[in-house]
Amino acid sequence: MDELPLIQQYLKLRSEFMGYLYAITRDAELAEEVYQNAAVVVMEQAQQSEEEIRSFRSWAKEVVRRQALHAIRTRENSSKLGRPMAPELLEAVCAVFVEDDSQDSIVELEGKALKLCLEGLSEEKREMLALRYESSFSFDDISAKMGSTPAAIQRALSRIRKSLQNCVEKRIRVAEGM
Amino acid sequence: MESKQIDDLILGYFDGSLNEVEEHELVALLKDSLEAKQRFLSFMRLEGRLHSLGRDGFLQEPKDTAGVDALTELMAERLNLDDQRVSRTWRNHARLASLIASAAVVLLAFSTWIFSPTSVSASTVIQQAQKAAAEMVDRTYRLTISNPNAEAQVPSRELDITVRGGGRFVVQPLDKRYIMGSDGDEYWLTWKEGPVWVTRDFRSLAPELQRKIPDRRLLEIATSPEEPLLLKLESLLALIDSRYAVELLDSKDSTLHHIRATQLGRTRNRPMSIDLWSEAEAGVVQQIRLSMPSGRLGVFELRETPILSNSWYSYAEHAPDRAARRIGN
Repeated sequence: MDELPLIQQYLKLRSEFMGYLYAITRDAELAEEVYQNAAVVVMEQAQQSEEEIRSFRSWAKEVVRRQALHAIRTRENSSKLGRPMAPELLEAVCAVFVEDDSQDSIVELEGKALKLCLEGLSEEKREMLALRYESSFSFDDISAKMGSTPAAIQRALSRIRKSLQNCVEKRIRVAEGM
Repeated sequence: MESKQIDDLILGYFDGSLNEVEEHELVALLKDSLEAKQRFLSFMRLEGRLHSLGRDGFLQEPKDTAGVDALTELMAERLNLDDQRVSRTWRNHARLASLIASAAVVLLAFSTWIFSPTSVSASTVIQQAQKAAAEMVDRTYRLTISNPNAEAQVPSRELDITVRGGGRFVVQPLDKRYIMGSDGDEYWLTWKEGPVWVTRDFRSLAPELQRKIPDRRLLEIATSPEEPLLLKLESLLALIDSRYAVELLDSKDSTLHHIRATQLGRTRNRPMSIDLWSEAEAGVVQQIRLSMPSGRLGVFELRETPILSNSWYSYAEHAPDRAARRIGN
């Protein structure tokens, strides 16, 4: 097992886990809550486990997946949201997450590249991202604040994320000397 | 399917805007297409990072105190400009209007001036409070956390928080079970016994502490994603400025300004509303009442203005013989 303390190993996987948690909950607050709860479970189970944990990442992923599914079931029981996610879609997303074997080095590079790519964004685009990802504004809220329509904001945010993704990929190709 | 269409489906998925047919298309792609799986994973990590960066406040250009000063100057400039515009408008009207109408305008302006001798708005009160909070002056507040709406009777908790400009703070509950703070650079926390936990990223304290503090309610206050910021008065004021609608209310005490800030978005961990009273003269915050969505109420009250040494905000001052354990650095 990795020599880093468990907490640091868990923190290193934050983006990957948060991405997955957001993907299946589509609720930033719930995703954060599950991430925090899973951290406690990871720490407790790792200390209680009598067997050696060979791959912390795979093992922690399973903990996160179970916590997430439990949280989704609880939420659906309380009927807070409208149409629940189709079971086959939830299953497909979980499978993609569990089977993911992306190299740690690439995942780490992506994080660094994103920070650089964000610096290249205009103030308006960063503001839009901040409203969406920091303040959890809906498209309606952002459009009201920025004097646009919700559909236009959704399209603009899609373009921003696509351009960030392209920028990240480009920087990784450069870093790898391709 | 082309890459663009795959990306659109994936982004639509994250936005929650796919219809049932599109969801089926995405399921099929995620089962059969290696490219789609890879793209989905990349976008999934991007979403995760954006949420994490957003939560940590890294998506916006940083605001420093110099920025606040510049903003204050800019506002002053605008106020002057507005005054000039009003004067020009008034002169134009005076040329066109009758003598009686002009006299009425003058009378109205005069009576307004009598009742409101200074130009005060909610925004200027916040700016003034930010400037006062940024001062290198030590101020001790008592924070009382209670939940008046809780079904079960929950005892209130009291903490003393000493703050100084530059993001320095020290927090200690009255029973002195632990002490945490920041010297403006590093965050630290320690109990009566044991090591001092130190980090530059206060959020990385959270999972580590969760195992150690049996009192989850207190943990929420100390380490939940947004609230540690609220322990720093400057950050709280900056948060009000950027994410709340603020209004100036009548204050019963003429030496204090009272503003009410109402959250613009729906971020669960942030206060729904914040009432703030600050000195009309110096801008020093006297009291803040935070109403949390959970029903919890947090009240900061200024108790004293001690004179403390520079090292008082570092952990060495409070736990001199303890081992420091760094996490997440």
